[in-house]
Amino acid sequence: MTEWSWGGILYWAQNSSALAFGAWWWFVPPGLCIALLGTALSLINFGIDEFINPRLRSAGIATRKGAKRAARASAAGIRRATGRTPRRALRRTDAAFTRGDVILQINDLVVDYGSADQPVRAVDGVSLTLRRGQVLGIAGESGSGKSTLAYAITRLHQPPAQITAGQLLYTGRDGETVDVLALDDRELTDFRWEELSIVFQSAMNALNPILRVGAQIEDAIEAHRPGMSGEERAERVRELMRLVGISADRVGAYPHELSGGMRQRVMIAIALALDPEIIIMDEPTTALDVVIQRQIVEKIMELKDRLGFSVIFITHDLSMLIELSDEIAIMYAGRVVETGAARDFYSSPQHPYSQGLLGSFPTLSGPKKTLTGIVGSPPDLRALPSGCPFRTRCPHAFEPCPVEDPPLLPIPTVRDADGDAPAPRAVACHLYTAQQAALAEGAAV
Amino acid sequence: MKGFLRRVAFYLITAWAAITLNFLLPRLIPGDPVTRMLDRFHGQLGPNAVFALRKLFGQTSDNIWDQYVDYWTRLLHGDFGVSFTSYPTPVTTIIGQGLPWTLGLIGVCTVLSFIIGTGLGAFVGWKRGTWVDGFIPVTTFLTSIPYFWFGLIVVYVFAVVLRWFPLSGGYTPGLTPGFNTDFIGSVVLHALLPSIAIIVSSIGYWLLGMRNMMITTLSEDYVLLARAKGLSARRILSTYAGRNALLPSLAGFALSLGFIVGGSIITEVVFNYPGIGYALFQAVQGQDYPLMQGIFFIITIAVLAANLVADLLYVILDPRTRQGA
Repeated sequence: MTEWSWGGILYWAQNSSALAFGAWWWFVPPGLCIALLGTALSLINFGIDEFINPRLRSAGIATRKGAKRAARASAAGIRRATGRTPRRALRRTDAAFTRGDVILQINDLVVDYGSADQPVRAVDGVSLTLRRGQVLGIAGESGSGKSTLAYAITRLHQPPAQITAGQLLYTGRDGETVDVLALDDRELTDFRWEELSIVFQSAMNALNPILRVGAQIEDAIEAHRPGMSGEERAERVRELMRLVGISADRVGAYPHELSGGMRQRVMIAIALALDPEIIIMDEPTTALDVVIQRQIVEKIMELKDRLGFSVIFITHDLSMLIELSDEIAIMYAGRVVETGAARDFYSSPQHPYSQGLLGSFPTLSGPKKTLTGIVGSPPDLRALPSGCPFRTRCPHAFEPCPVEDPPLLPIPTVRDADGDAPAPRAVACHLYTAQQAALAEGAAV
Repeated sequence: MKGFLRRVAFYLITAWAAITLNFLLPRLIPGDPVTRMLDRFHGQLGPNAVFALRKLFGQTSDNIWDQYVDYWTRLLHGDFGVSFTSYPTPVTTIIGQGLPWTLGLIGVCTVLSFIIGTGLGAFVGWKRGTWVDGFIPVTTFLTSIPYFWFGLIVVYVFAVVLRWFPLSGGYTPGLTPGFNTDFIGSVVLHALLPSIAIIVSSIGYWLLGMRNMMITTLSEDYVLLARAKGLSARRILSTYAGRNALLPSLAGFALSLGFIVGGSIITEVVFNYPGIGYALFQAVQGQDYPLMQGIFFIITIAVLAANLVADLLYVILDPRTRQGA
């Protein structure tokens, strides 16, 4: 025997009944070597797995340090948020709530991605107001932070995203105001879906493929109304299905048996399950064709008028927003660059970016026009230009733009032809500095 | 229903092909089993006796087609021939004695290790990023250990040195098999050591696969929606994340069920367990062709049956596979 292998050693050890004579030292080392080598190869395999499948990385053994850091940072973020505001009832108004009252007030919300030392700011000091029974539209390109904002409002954002500052003041039907960011896990679970629900962009991915759609509507009810009998729940599910325009005998269908539009209707039914006050719609029609888009939007508006909930509608399609929103906010690079009433947007978008967005989409109704689009691509949030983040793509850029980031300030508004009170408008652009200064002076006087 | 019939037809064809191969292979191997048997008698048999033996083992000089028909006829009558090594015990008797032990020990352990492994995997995936991640290197190491080596070490430590468990066999010799506490207790005691060896060394495989699928599934939108809806962690874990993550593991489980019979050799040899793997080991050593053929037949049937079970499970768990629903 001139060449030894680990397997060979084991073979001879077994052949000579090494263990029977207590000669474990003959037997144990080669086996351990094989096991250690095998483990080493497996660990290399883990690395390859995590390289190929990024989803594994957030929980990976190789990247444990990064995950821990993110967890620590997010815990710190929550603590900070909790520290700033008292947990319950900020103020009470005894007056009954009516349409037009503020239901959700977002104050200086900041969402960061990544570790504490080098965060990427996806939502940068956003302040918005949603009124009862109204539709607040948020538009912007991909990467403008609008979906991150939607997830942050529902506090469904996943690490490495974390809310590092801001307030989310919700005023319920009873007139009590709570800061959603200060709710603990238990309160948040009760709050979500009961008061505020969300419709995701892709209904195919948001429905569990192995569960009947009826059951997916029902388990939301079951989780929040444990006292309800099975029969009442089933009746409510059928009612919800009819409400969104699906025949009630489809409760037993699986998601793959429904068309894209039907699935999105199911998503809306799930969102409606507990009669929430606010529904956030994160690009609910983007994955659908134009005809179905139309149907879904009309359904949402009909239900909104009937049930009286408020909507935050997020899309990149500004012309659709103009048709269905009461108020619109335009987002660019994580900040709001313009707000105003929807009707004002169509006639006179102020910010050059809003003008570009409006020029990029054909309207569903209305006169024909030439589509222009916006030159360049959405900004890289890790390397924003100095001053105004839009200046590199802006056709009107001039001297102050690279120097200072323009703040979002109100601009003068004109009374319209009917003599209605003008809706307030605000824009973050140096083109309007003079008007804004004049307005501020006038207010001061 | 149409889909189901198609599956059944597929299985019948596969079974036919496997059984035919099973018939052909021994006849393609150089060296004739009966000659080998005759060698043992050192030429002390007369021509009549030789003919009788050949007839007995179905090795007549008939053409191969007649042999094939004969093979099927006997197969359908449950006649696998007579074992060479334990002549004249019929093969069916030997298989009948070994099969319950193998199914009992290795079958139960395979199922247990799948259940424990995927259960732990789901848990580890759910609690990812916490201390439970420590399970992974440990179970990976246990899975990397050469299996027979691990078995021998376990036998050495617990049966030879510590004497906690019996060294070999399926039950204490002298006990009468039957439904009494003595016998069942003895069977459990004898099965414990091999069970631990099997489960410990195979659990890591299931755990890792399930954990990775679980983490992938947990980042799906429907899990996020389930959390948003306020469902209990238990419901999310079982119906939303777990059931979806389990689907890929099922195929592997079906294969491992099929290999219960074929894969039992090492365990049963190391632990001297009276199962079918041990019988196969002896059949190979003694070049006992009828016995090997019989066991291969059982292995074929086992693999096919396990696949059928997995197919059915899949249909129950994943509505997308139900055709024409």
